Amino acid sequence: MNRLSTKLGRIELANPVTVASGTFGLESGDWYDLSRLGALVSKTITLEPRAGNQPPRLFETSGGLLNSIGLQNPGLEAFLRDELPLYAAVGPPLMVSFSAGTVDEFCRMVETMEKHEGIAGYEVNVSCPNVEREGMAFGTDAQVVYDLTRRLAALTQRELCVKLTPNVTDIVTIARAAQEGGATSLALINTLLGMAIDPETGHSRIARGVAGYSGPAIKPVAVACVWRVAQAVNIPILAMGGIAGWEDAVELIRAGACAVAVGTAAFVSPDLPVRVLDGLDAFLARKELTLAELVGTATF
Amino acid sequence: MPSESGYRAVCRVVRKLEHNEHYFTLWLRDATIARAVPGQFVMLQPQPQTDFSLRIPLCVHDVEDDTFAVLVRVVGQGTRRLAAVRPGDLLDVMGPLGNGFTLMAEGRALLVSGGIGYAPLRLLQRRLRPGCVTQWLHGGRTAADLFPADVLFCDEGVAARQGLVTDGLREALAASGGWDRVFACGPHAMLAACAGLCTEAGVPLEVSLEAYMACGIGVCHGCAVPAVTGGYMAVCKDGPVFNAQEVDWNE
Repeated sequence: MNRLSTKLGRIELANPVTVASGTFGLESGDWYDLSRLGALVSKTITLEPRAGNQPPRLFETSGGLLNSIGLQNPGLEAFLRDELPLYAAVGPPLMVSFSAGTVDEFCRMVETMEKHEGIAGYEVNVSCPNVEREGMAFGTDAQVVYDLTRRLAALTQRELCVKLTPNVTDIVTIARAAQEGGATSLALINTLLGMAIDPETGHSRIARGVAGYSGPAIKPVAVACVWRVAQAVNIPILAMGGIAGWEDAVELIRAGACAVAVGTAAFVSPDLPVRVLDGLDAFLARKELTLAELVGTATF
Repeated sequence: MPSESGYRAVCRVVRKLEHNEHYFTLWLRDATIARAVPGQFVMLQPQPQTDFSLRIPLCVHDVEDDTFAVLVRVVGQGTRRLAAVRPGDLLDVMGPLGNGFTLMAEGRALLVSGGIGYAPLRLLQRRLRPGCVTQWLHGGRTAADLFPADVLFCDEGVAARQGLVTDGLREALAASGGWDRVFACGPHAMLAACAGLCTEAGVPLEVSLEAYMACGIGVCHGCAVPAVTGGYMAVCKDGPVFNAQEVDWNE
């Protein structure tokens, strides 16, 4: 058995390294061999096309990045027609990240996607801080997460991964609700709420005011969330939040993750996902461990 | 565009020219990137990288043999890191990225720049010549923002005319002879004014835009610019050079 192989709920992955939704596209394939990834994760798709938020959408802070893209995407129909065949051709299992404004709309999207081949699973994005309707309002209410997950679980035998926001009082409560609703894995964490203000003018650096905060600065938050959630649920965790090197991936795996996603730091080094993979492989070889043996080995 | 997609190299700084406390030019060696066409850009990262910081997007300012130059204005934390770079240092560079200006074999081309907007027009002017007649109008807020051009506009300094570079554009467009195309780069308000003047005069205008940028390769959707047809275009992937008529200047 390959020491890197892992399982994310219902799907077998050749290795645990994937990419965080919204930080990756087929364009990334100009910079490294995408077929080496354990899985692909699309940007978040909504039923209708979304133009995205007014610029400025980005601001760099110490150790991280504020973004307010606003789920810019071509809409489900165009995604399925134009992008899905290209993603499917790459090889690794594809998780389609998607979001909607109502439970019914989430369900309609899954029903539509079920008719298409080439989708291994769904990442249910109930945690985007940068939109009103399709935003993290869903992911901050345990009852809503439970109801939504239950409805979606009845519609698919594919992997059903719910992506959680850290912007809640207790992420464990939300994680449990998703598991009870029928989620087969969890992805965490989405971005933290953040804001930066120009001291001279008083204007927010981001047109929409508050934004999502990602990058190495948020890694300790991610590690703590993964650790706490891993103690409370028995479904696999796909962890993301601040991975900038293989050591960060090891931390999140030791905290309890079965797979990891590289995000913001890949903007600096587009081939970072495969470098994390190679580093992780070398680490496991040195420790004479399989990935499965490393999961959840943090102590204190 | 030359097909160099996915090219990334560690390049050595061969020369650094300090123009004043705000501006400097770095010359770096890489034969592939030196094949950039006017208007394309690179994403730079000083080496070794210790703490997290995004790459710095900069236009290719000039090329010579196997070297290329970037003109830098120190504005934020990224460009301050670049300001500390010395000849002999290494930079990790992705590029050339994005599209380029329309290169005319002949005709009359008017170049208009403001401040750091000077950067991409240098290579453009060299490539337009000698086939084209060119005139370069450059404006600056202070004398430190001025660089060699045919006519300078600034409220400081003896070598410059008073007023805005767009005043110069208005006069040039009204003068006899006519222009086949205008190329502009500078602050948003200047470019919006250029767009209005060129539309009135019926002369095509190409603009090079700047935006906050994270990835530079069309993935993050951070560098959005409003399109006249609705929605947004990506400066990194759809640009950085746009026909002015594609851009919604009122947004």
